[in-house]
Amino acid sequence: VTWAAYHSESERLAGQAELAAHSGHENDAIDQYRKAAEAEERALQVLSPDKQRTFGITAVSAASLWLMAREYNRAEQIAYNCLSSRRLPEFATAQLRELLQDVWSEQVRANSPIKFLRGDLVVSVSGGQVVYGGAPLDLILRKVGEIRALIFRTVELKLGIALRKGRPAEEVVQQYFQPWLFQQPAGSYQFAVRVRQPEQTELFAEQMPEVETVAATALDILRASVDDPQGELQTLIPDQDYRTTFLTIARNLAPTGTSFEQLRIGSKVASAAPVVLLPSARETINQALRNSKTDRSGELEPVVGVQIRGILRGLSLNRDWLEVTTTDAEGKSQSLRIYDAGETLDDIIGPMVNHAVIVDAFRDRERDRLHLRDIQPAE
Amino acid sequence: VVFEIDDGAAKEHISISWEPADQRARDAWANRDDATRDAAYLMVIAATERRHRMYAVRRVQVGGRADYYVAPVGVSADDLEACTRLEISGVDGGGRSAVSQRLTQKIEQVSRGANFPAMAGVIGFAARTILLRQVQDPQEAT
Repeated sequence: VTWAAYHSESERLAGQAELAAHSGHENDAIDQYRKAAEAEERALQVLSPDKQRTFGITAVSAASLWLMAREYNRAEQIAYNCLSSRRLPEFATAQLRELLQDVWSEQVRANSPIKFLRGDLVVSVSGGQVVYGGAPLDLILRKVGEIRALIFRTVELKLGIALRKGRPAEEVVQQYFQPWLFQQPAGSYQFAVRVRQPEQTELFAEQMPEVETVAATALDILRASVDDPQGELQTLIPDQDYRTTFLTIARNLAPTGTSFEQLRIGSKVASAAPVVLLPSARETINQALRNSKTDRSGELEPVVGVQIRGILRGLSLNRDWLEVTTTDAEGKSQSLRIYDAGETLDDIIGPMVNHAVIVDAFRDRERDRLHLRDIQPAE
Repeated sequence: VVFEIDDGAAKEHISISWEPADQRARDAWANRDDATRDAAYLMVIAATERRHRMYAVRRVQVGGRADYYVAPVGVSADDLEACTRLEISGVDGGGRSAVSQRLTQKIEQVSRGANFPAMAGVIGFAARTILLRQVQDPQEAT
């Protein structure tokens, strides 16, 4: 029997596994993945030693299939064997090393008494000041806060909770759908977030099938925010306030190109392709936000549009204002109070406190007041 | 319907016609994401054949970071030594900028395969555009 015959058999079985997984038949899917891994391992054994690229592809495939079959020891074993064989091309060596880290993470999670919802969000920040495996702490803290907001908002959307303003997520949501941070193999700077499974699922019994896919939904929302905010995003989120909230989260996640140049969000478990946010995404989403927001400037003639760059030093959303400190060319500081901030969502503006921001506002000349149109991180 | 194929070196306008789907077909393919993905496979593979004379040989298995292996005509499917990875994506709505944005994502995705030749192809159904790019091996670039 040839490599092609075994590999084709493995492809067929993996296809069946995917179908079973798609239909929610988890045990059948695991069984088919195991059979597919066995066939791929046989393909590897009969392969001629001179077929280096085919060997690399098949080795990665076999180890990945054992991982999908949750046979972590077999995945680890085949990865070690192939890595020590000196037959692997460079791309396969790198992929198998990454895969080993996934295997170890999955092993730890499988043995842990704490269970997590299906799917994860793997966030990778690169370019600018970010180096291999390291990044400015402030930047990563802010990104973690933004991902936290994305997850809670997605859970609330899926639970059918009305858009929350001026208060944190309900305690029951925070308690039962805790996001957890996991380290990832170095590669730019990466971290993963998974949502802990509620211990008492009966509280959300009806909504659990929906909430199970929170990671995949969050990815779909981000993709639609970048690709087609006027079309696909409207189909995914008919409610305009929710849509504006997710657009703002996606815009804030995107780089400006100074401290970092790219943010990539994918999932090692969900099959969806990753979403890559570049500086151009920020402008696309800003345009969509401008189209979606009600502009009050027309009610307050005469007005002058202004853009303010400074540090967000304070805010009181209940009192409807925020304060930004600006510094002029001579180093002189000035504190500006900007009104109409009450509609700003606290989990979105929270990560910006004490950081550089860009505020779009308009000045009501009659009352000499600044009114908020939009605020976004400046890094 | 006229689509533009842009492979980075040249642009070509091609006319595509098809039998309108009947209700039975619409019901069978009533999942928008699946329909977009499968139509993208069809169109991008056809565009790759036309522009690069490369033909789909096999699907990429799990962990392979692409969708299909393509190879020049005459290359057998007995191994993958002469294959190039092809990553495919479809954008249902949105203009050309949305298609370009998705292409950037796909190029980034296949670039992580280091020294393994790759191509990325994205079709925008509303934009009537197919963008194809060969991804340079980062090692060759240095």
